[in-house]
Amino acid sequence: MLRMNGTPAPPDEAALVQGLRAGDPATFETLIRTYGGRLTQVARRILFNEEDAREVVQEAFISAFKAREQFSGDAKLSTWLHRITVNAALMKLRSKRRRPEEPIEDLVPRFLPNGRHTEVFRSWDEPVDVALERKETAQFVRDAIDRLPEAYRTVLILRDLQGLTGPETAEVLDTTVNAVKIRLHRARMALRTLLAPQMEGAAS
Amino acid sequence: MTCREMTDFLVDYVSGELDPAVVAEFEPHLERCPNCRVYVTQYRETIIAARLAVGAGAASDAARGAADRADDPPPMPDELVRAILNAIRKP
Repeated sequence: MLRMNGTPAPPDEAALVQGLRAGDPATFETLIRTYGGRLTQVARRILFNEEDAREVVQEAFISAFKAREQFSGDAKLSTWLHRITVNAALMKLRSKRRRPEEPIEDLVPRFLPNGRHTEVFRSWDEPVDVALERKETAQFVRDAIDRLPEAYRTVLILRDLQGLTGPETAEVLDTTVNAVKIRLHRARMALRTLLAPQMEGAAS
Repeated sequence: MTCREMTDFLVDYVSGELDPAVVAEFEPHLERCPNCRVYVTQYRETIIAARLAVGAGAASDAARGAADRADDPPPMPDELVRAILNAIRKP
């Protein structure tokens, strides 16, 4: 199940589902207050823009309310709401995307026929938590995440930044747990490649 | 184990889910291969860097659950809650 942080006592899922299906506004308000903060966070991390994130979450809750009778109850409410929000955020992103993505194949390590890396990796200058204390390094890392191809960036955001589990991420993105694992691995490797030039010379 | 095989197992290795039999091959490779040692360190640091860059805290894979429970998103602003409720009340 999703870790719904910052929520008071978690409301009873069965009662919420029943109220939602009945179209009860009070139940819907509870849903918004319970999950809205976390959904705004995921939208913000996909879109890197506060105003867009709020707009997306608003649209997502309205679509969820309209689609309430289609909620099957197989998934958790929180997973279902994540799915609607992530899809709305990705649609918004596609409509205004300006930064070119880097092809993933160019960013993952290459190997010689004997299985050794083709590249010799240089150690990074300073511990990453020290480097990230600088605002410009943090911005560089956010920009690098933004350069990952969408399918990889989304998995990295859900798994590594939002803390969803593999099965939850698979359900949100309508894919398999194994596909999530492979994409997460390639996303991390690609991000490492993008960070390396900055981190090798971080202290200079 | 080659560097390529080592790389394939990384995702499970950093989450502590790698089969102990594979760990038994993985770790000797790391001891022999300084290049892979640097790579594994940077793979972990990349995850931490991404988390720190978005304000999610530096927890390692294994400690992530507790850290994410502590990672409180701000609640929905009241005006946004009202805007949504008004929108759904329209016929």
